Amino acid sequence: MLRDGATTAPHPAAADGAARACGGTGRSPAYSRSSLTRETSQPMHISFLLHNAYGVGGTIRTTFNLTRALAERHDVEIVSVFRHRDEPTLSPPEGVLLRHLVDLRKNSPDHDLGHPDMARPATVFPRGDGRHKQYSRLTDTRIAEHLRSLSADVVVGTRPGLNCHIARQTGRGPVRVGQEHLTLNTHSHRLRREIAHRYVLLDAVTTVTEADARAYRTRLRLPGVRIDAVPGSVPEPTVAPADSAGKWVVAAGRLTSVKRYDLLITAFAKVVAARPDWRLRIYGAGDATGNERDALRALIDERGLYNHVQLMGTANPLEPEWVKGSIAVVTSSVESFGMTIVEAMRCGVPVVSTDCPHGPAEIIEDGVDGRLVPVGDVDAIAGGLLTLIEDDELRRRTGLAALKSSARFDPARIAERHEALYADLVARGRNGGRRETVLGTVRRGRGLLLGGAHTVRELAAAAVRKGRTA
Amino acid sequence: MSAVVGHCTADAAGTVTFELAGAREAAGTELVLRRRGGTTPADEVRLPLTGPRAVLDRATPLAEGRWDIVHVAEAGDHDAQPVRPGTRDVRALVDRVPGAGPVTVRVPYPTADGRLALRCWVRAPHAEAGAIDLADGAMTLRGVLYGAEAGDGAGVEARRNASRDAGSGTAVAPRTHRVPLTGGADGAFSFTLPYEELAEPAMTARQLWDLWLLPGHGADPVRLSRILDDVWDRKSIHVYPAYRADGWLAAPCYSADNNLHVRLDPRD
Repeated sequence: MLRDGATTAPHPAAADGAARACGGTGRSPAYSRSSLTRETSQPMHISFLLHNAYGVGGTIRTTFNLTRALAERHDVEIVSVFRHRDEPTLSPPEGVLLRHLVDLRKNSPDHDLGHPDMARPATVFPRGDGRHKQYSRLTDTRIAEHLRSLSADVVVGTRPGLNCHIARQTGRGPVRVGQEHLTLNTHSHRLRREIAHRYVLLDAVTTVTEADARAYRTRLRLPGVRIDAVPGSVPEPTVAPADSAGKWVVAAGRLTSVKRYDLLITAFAKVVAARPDWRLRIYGAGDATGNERDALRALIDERGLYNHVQLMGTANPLEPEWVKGSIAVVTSSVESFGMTIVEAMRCGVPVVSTDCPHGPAEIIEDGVDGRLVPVGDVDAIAGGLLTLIEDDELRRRTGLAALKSSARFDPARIAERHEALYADLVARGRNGGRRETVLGTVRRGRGLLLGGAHTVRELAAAAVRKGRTA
Repeated sequence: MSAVVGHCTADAAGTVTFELAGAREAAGTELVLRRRGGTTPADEVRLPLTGPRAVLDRATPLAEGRWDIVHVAEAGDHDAQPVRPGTRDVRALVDRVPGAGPVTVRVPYPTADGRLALRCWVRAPHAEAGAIDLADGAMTLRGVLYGAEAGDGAGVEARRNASRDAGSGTAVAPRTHRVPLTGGADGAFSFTLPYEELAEPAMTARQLWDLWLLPGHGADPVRLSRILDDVWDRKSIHVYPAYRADGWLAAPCYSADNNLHVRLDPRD
C-alpha cells in the first residue's frame, strides 16, 4: 500500500528513528530497507498481549492500527486478557487473530464469572499498575499458561503490568518487548520500582516519545535492554482535509484537569475580545479520574462566553469534527504522546499546543506546522491562537504543512519501525547474540545477588531513587 | 447486530450521500428512510443502492421529524437491518446560510442506541435564533427571519400552555406575553424579553415558555428555533446561565428539537 507520504522525506524531528526503520530508497514502500538483513524478509509470528481488546481507548486503537499494518506481512495475534462483549467496540484489525484469556460475558457458556480465583488478588500483576484491581489469581495463572506455551517469535506487552508478566513468565524463545504508552514519570513510585526490577528481563522497551526513552535510559539501570522511541500512529483520515475557512477553533479530549480546559476558556475570552467572530468547540466527556464539565460550564458563564464556547460532548470518530475547525488547540499540562495533535494535523488543521512534556515538541515544529506555547500561560495560548486567526494565509500554509509532516505517523510507516526492531532482536537471538548473553548474565547475576547483601529489587529501587533526585 | 456501517456526507443544499461499509455478506439493494411515528406512504423513502452508495437528493421531499435509516438486503425484503453510524462529514452544515425557498435541514446523526438517523426540519418561513445577550434580568436575542418580512407591529410572543402544576397540583392557565421586534437588513431582527414579565409570585414548579415571532398584523406566527448548523440536539450544548431573582430563576434554553424556550424555575 503505497501512499504519498510513504515516499516523502522523514520529518526532521523523527529523522533518527525513521532513518533506522526506513533506511531504504523508498522505491518499494515497506520492504526494500537496505539496512535490514535478510532475516527481516522472513515473516514473524508476533503475539500482542492487551488488557481488553473489546473496550475503547488509546492503547486499543494504537494496537489495532499497528497489528493491522503488521498483519500484511506477518502472522499476528492479539491476546486480550479480558473479554466482556461479543464484538470489539472499535473495528478490529483484519487478518489478526483475536483471542481472550478470561471471559466476563454473562451469556457465554465458558464464562469465568464466579471463579473462586477471581476473588483472590493478583500476585504477578504488579500492584503499582492502576488496573491491579481487575487482575486476580486467575489472570496470574491464565497469563502464565499462555506465555509459557507461546511459540511466537515476538511477544509484545502493552502496559506495565502485562510487561511484567512477560518479563517473568515468557518461556524460552520469543523475543520480549514491553510497550510504554504512558510515561515513566507519570507512573507511581511503586510501579517505577517494579519496572526497574522486572524490565531487566525484557529484550526491548518502546516508548512513544524520545523524551520518555531518555527517561528510561537515564533513570533506570536496564543493562542490555534496548530502548527505542516509536511514536503512536494515526491513519489517513477518511474525510477530506479542512479548508481553513471556518471561524472555529476545536479542542478534543477527556474533560479532566490535566487537559487544562480552564486555561483554554480563559484564553479564549481574550480571543473573543479581539475577534468576536471566532468560536470554540470542546469535544469530550469526563472519565474515571474526573469530570470538569460543571466547572467548565460555570467558567463559560462567568466569562460571558455562552455564545462563543460550546461543550459538545463526545464524538466518535473525531475526524469529521476536526475538519469543521480551522485551528485545533491543546492546553494540557502533560501529554504522554499527543495523539489528538497528530489526528488534527492529519486532517490539515494546524495545532496550537502547550510545549508540555512529553510529546508535543516531537510532533509540532513551532512556527512551521503549528505553534508551541509555554505551559499554563493564558496570554501565550491566546496569542498563539490569534496569530493564526489574524493571518488567513499563515493559517492556510500552516495547515498544509501540518497535513504533510503528519504523514510520518501513518500506521504503515510506524509499523515499519516496530517491525525493524522486532526483526533485529529476532535476528540477534537466532545468531546467539546479545540477548542470550545478556539474559544469561542477568540470571546468573541475580542468583549471586540474591545470596548477597542486596537483592536485585533493592538495587533497582536504589536506581529509581537515584534517578528521581538526579 | 448489523455490521453495516453508514458513512455519509451532507451538503448545504440538503443532498445526503450515504456509503455503506462492512456489508460484504449482504451487499444490499436499498436504503430505506422511515419517519419515526409516520403512518402515510410519504413517511417512507426508498433509495436504490448503486454499489455501496445511495443518494438522498435535495429535491426528494422529507417531512420534518426524525427519520430512521435501515438497509434492505433484497428488494421487497421487510427484514431491514439498522445501519450503524460511521463517519458523518457534515462540515457543510456548519454556519449555514440557506438559499431561497423553504428552509430545509437534514442532519445525519447517531441515535443514543447507536443507529444512523436523519434529523429533518422544513420551515417556511423560518426564524433562526442566534446570539443571546443576557443582562439586567432580560434576554436580548439576535436572529434572522427567512421567507417572511417583519413589518409594522411585528413582535415576539412568549406563550405558556395550559398545564397542571406538578408541585401543587393546581391548574396553570395559559398566558401570553408580547414584546416588540426590531427589524434590520436582510431579515435580521432582535428583541428584548424581560423575564419579570413572565414570572409569577409563589411559583412551585418549572414553567416552559415557547417563543414565536409574529411578522406583522394577521401574519402566521413563526416558531423561534436554531437549526442552521450540524447540531441535531442542542439541549445540552447551547446552555445559558440563569438569572436569579427573588423567588425564581429564569434562563433561555433549547429543547431536544432545537426550539427556543424561556425556562422559569422556583427558587428555594
